[in-house]
Amino acid sequence: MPYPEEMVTPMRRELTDHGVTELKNAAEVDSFLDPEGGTAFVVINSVCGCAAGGARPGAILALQSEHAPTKSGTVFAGQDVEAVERTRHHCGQVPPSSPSMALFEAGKLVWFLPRHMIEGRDPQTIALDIVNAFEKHCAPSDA
Amino acid sequence: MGTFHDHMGELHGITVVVSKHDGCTWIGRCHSEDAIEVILHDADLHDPALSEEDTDQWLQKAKQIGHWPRVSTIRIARPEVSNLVRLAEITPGQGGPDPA
Repeated sequence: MPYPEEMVTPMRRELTDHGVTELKNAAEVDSFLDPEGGTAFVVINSVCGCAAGGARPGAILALQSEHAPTKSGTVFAGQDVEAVERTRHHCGQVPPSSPSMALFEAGKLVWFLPRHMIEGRDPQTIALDIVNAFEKHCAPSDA
Repeated sequence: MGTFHDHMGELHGITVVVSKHDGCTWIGRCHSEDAIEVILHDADLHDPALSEEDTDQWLQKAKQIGHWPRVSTIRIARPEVSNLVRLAEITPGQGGPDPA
């Protein structure tokens, strides 16, 4: 059962106020993960404490990095069920968890940060993991 | 640092690996643990007698991408537990009933 929207809205805005695009249905997810769309970072948001204490502030920190992906989006677990299911479909064999984060390159999953790598960790440490993924997959090649 | 439910203990809400003396291993989100039992939510079980993967392979894959929440709640009697550790802290070779 979804939480009351008035309770969840501030949790959504914590990301959208920093330029992260909210994806509310399957069509929006598919469009966002278009193979022609470059690199795409998705935060699977949730109401739990580790989303508030680690995932959201860690993602916001990481998105300030030099090699941030082409676009960043978010879906909300337990609230926007269709969008979350579609995002997980794009993640292939990765088990569902929230909060979690995924990085796609040309529509294909190239990196995933599951919930257990967010639990109990501070935002700076989480951001470092994310930035390392950005450096690996989003930075221009030296060729 | 656990969750905001500090009264529940430091592992409340944390994904843990519970190794058992019989060789089976559970991964799940810890609700509570004391001298009586460990209670996990959204858990998955590895039984080496039934799996093509050994315990270490199963744990390393779970550490990389997560585990499947196949069992809503499981209560594991504490005397059956040989080791309890956070999944995020598991290292290669640490799986199994009686890690060094």
